[in-house]
Amino acid sequence: MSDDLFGELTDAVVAGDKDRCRGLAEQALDEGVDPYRALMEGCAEGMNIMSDRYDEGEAYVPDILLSAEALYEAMDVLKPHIDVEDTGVSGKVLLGVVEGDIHDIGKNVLKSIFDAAGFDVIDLGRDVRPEQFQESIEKEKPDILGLSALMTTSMTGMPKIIENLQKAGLRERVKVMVGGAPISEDYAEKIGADGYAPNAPQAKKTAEKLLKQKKKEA
Amino acid sequence: MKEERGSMERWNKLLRGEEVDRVPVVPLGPGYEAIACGYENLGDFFAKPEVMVKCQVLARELYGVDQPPFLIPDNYWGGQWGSEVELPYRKSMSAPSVKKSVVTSPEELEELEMPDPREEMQNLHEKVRIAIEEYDERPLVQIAGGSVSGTAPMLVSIEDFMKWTRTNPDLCRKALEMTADFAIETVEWFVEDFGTDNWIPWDALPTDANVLISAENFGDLVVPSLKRLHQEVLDMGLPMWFTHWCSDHNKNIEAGHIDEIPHGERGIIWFGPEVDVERSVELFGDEHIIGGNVDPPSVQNKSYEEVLELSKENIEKGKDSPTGYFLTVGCGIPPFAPPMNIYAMVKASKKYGRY
Repeated sequence: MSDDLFGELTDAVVAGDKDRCRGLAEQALDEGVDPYRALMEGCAEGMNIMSDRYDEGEAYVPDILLSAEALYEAMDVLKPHIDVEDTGVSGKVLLGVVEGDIHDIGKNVLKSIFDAAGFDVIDLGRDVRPEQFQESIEKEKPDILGLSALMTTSMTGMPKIIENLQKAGLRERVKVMVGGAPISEDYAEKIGADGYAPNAPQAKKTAEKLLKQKKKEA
Repeated sequence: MKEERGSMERWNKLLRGEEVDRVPVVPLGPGYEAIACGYENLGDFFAKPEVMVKCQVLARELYGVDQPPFLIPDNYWGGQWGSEVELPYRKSMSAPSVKKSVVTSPEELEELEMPDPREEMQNLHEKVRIAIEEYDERPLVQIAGGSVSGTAPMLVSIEDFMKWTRTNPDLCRKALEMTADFAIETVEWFVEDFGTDNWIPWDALPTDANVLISAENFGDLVVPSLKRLHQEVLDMGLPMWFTHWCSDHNKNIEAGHIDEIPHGERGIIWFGPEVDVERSVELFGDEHIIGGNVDPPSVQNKSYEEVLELSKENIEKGKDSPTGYFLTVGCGIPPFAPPMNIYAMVKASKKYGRY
C-alpha cells in the first residue's frame, strides 16, 4: 500500500502537480505511513527523476520549478510530523548568490534538488554580501557553503569570500563549492574552492563527495 | 587600409560588405570603457547619456578597436513598466538589475497598461541623439521585447514566467506581445527623430537559451512575437538586426528557429561560446555577418598569451565567413578585464586576421 502511495507521490512531483502532492501527503498521514519515508521514497524520488532528466537535456527549468513547487507542497504537510532523529540528514548546506548578482534561478533549482536529497539547506538568497556569508557560517555552522554567480563581475566576489573565511579562521570548518555560468573547474581551483559543478544535478554529486571528505577529515 | 586608431572605417566597410584589411575587433562590453575612463563603477555610465557615449568613443581610440557606441537604457527595459531597477553604482554589478518585477500575478498583467516610450525612454533617446548628432556615430541601440529576455524579469519575474510556460502559456504570450508592442513604438519614435540609416537595433537573448527553456517552448511562445518585432522594425526601413544569441541556443538552431527570426538582408548573428563559431559560419555565414565568441571569463581571468591564442583560434574559424566576421567575446568584455587582454584581441587581429 505504502509503495503505491510512494509511486503516486513520485509521479505527482514529476508532473509538477502540487495539489495532488498535498492531497497524497495528507493521505499518507491519514493512513499512518511514515512521513519521512513518504518524503524520501516518494517525493524525493520524483525530484531525482527530474534532476536526471534536466541533466540529460530532457527537462527544462520550467519543469524543475513546477516539480520543486509540488515537492515543497508535500514537505509542508509531512515535515511537521517527521522526527528530526529519523531524518538521517546527511549535511547542512548554506547557499547564496554572491553580491551584485540577482540571477538566482540556478541557485533555486539547486536548492530544490538539495532539499530533495535530504540536505538541511539554508538559503541566503541573492545579492548576498561577503559579511552575510561569514555571519551565517558562524551562526549556522554548515558543512558546505555553495556560492553561485552568473556575471563575470560578481564572480570576482567568490575569492574574497573565501579569503574572508580564512582570515576569520572559518575556512577549515566548511567545504566551499562554486558554480554558475562563468565558473569553471580551473577557476574553482584557482580561488581555492573545494568543489565545482557545471549544473545543479552535478552539484548534488559534488556536495555528497565533499561531505564524505569532510567526515573523513573529522 | 591605413591603421588609424579609433576609426570606424573598418566596421562600416564590414557592414557594407566591402573588403577590409583585417578582422575588425568589436569588444562589445559595455562597461570596460567606463573603467578605462577612470570610473570606479558603472553607475554613471548607464545613468548619464553623455558618459555612456563619450567613454565608448574614447576607449575605442585608446584600445584601437572598431566598435561603435553600444547603447542601453538606464531603465533596462523594465523601469518604464514600473519594475524596480537598481543602477550599477556598486562595483560588483556589471549592469542595471531589475530588483523587483512589476507583475506578480496574472491579474496584474491583465491590468497593466503600456507606457508611452516618449515619456519613459528619454534616457535611451538622449544617448542615441548624442551619439549621432554630437559624435557623428552610427550606434548599436538596444531594442528589447518580444523575447523571454526582453520580458522577464523586465515585466514579470523569470521564475513566474518559467512556470507560466507550463501552467498558462497565454499569459506568457500576452506579456511577450506587450513588450514587443512597446519596443515597436520605441523604434517608431527613434525612426521619426533619427531616420533609419544612422543606427542599428540590437537585442540579446540569454534567457531564451536552451539551458532554460526547450526549443519547443521557444518556437511556440517566443518565435511569433520576436519575429513580429524584428520584421516590423525592418519594415520601417532599418537595414538589419544585430542579435546576440547569448548562451546555449544549439537546440533552437537545430529546430530551425533562428532561421525564422528576420535579421535583415545582411544581419549580424552573434552566438555565445556554447555555439562553435565554425558552426555559426557554416549555418549562417552565407547570409549574415558573424560575431566571434571568445569565452568571456577567459578574457577576465587568463593571461595575455592565452587570450591571444584563444583569439587566434576564433579568428581562424571565422575569418573567411562569406558575409564577414568580427572578433569579439561571447557575451561582451567583462568590465574589469585586464586592458592587456583587450589589446590581445587587437594584436590577434593584426597578427592572424589580415586579409
